[in-house]
Amino acid sequence: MFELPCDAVKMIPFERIHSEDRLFAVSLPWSPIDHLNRSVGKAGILSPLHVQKTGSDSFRIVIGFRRYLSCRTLGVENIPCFVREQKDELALFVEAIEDNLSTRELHLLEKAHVLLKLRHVFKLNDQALMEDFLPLLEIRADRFHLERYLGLARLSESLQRSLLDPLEPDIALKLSKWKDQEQDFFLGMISRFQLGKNKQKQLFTLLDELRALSMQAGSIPGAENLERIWHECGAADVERDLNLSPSERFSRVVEGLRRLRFPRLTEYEHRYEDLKAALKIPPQIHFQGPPYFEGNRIDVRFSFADPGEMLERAQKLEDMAQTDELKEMLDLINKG
Amino acid sequence: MKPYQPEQIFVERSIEGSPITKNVLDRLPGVPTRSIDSTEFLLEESQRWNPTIPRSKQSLILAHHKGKFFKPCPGSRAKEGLKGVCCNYFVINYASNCHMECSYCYLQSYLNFPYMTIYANQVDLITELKTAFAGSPHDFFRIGTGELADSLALDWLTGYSTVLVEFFARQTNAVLELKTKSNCVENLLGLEHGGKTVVSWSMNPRYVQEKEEHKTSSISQRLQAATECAEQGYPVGFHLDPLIFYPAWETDYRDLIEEIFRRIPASSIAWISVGSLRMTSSLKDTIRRRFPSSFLPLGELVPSPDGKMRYFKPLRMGMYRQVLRWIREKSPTTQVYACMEGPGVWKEVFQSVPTEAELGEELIQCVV
Repeated sequence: MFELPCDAVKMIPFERIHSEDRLFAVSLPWSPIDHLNRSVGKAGILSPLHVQKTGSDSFRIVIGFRRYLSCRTLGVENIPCFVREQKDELALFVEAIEDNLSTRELHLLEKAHVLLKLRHVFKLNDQALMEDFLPLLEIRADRFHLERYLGLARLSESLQRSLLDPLEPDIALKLSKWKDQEQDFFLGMISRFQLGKNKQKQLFTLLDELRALSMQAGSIPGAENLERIWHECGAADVERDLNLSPSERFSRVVEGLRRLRFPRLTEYEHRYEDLKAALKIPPQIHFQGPPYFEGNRIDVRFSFADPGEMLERAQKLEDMAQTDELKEMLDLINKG
Repeated sequence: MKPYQPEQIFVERSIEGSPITKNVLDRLPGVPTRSIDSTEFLLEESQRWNPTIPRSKQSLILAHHKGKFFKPCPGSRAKEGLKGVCCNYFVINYASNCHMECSYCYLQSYLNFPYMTIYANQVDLITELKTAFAGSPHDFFRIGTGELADSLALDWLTGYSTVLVEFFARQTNAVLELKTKSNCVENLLGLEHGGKTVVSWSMNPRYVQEKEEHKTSSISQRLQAATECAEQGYPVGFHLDPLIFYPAWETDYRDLIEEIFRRIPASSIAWISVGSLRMTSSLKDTIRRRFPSSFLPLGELVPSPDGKMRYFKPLRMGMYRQVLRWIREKSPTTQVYACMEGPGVWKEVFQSVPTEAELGEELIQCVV
């Protein structure tokens, strides 16, 4: 039964509140609270903390961990609090969850830690989590999602911190299978190239598959192995090339990794591009081969502004049709 | 093959009296059995609890198939433009899921009902087939049971093959194909099959079988079973599908083909199909998660127009050409066809692009 804090608000000295007891915490201790600091600095604590008495002169926080941290940052000496009489710890934690949900959007990691705490501290079973708490946290109520969130809560702290920005959760879960130094290597790349979601995925997929290939060939997983792949594909040199923009550097890195991952395919692609270059196609004519050689046609697009230009392009196409290069390009596509 | 041993059996009440149900329950004494009105709650439970694949397979469901058993092969139903050269094949879904664990198996990411399921209303199945065959007396049907399940791996439990083989023996416009990676052919031996059942095996070199086709019968066991069937007069088939690229693939596939023809007379072989490794990107993720030591998802697979990933075309065409050459060296006349490949590949590998009707007809001629 929900127990309303009917006592008057008490001013409790900062040092009598023990924030290290995080039984009821929903927020993460390292989540940024700059915005809250500004608000508390300007207007003070508008909404009192909820605390529970733990000794004759000591308290623990039920609701208000972030506000407490702001008070510490701002040097507030006395904090307005409701002292809760409720003894049922699960009921208080549920209240804390609901209070947080009513005032802000929870980060997925906060939701993940709430679920982990409910399972391991409050000993709730999966059925209770799925029936009562996943819907409350606006998570689809099935085991797949439950396991995914619990997996996020079990990530190393460095991966969890990276999840705040910029690491993608799906990649974080996969990355957790790598060794710590390998994780650092990848996180370093994300930050160096400032990669968004799709590029993170692209880089991770290539590295992860090359890593798996090298392990199947007998390499020992570790940062040295990734460094070796990085050097072997030429990425280390590309990184040092200051004439390239970060996005150009990333494209070259991907190209190098792709060459290692798909040696036969990229060899064909290079042969095709070499032949295409030998045709000396004017910029007004565009050749587009089938993606990944799947298909048997080359699309041609050309532009012209008058009948003369049209004839000129047609003549060029006719000339190209007679060349060995074009024949070889078609053979590459059709015959392999 | 590692025999299937469920932990629990659910039986739909409507098929409790079925001979298939009786066969299964007689052969699995001691396995806890529960009667159920419908399988719907099991589907809801699986969606909610998301059990692991091996866990799901520990439950065997004896169910009443409420839809159509008999359908055109999904390959032929693909959208125009994404469709390969099809062979006018039909499928009977008498069961769904497979207890064997091939790393590349598409069922892992295809079935939304993850339990081992056998449809026990075989009277409805036979009635449906009779109606279909009688309704198209001038058509000839080639029908397989190996789309959503292995045709024979559970036959020691169900005895389904006896019902089907004896039924097809009496048909004038249909042949049955039983496709398997097992050596469960005991029920077939001694049956009056009338040459209307082709027993076929998916084959790969021993290296691939040992690394990637877990719980299946060994290549030697499969070949022994094929020999026994051929000796009983059954036409036999082989499916070199999926062809797998790895450093020793040429030696290994050549040896495999030589071994097949050494053990089985070419005159007993109805057909051999070839198909390259293919997978959706979701299956690729599943394989990497479930079989981290599998080398298959690390091949040079690229997206194809139908959304599946395959070895890029020049690579797989090279494999097809070689395999075809080795088969031709052993038997110039054995029918060979490619599964789920487009006209471009057919033209370059087989020098012809048959229509669905033409290829279907050619394959039927191999049996009748």
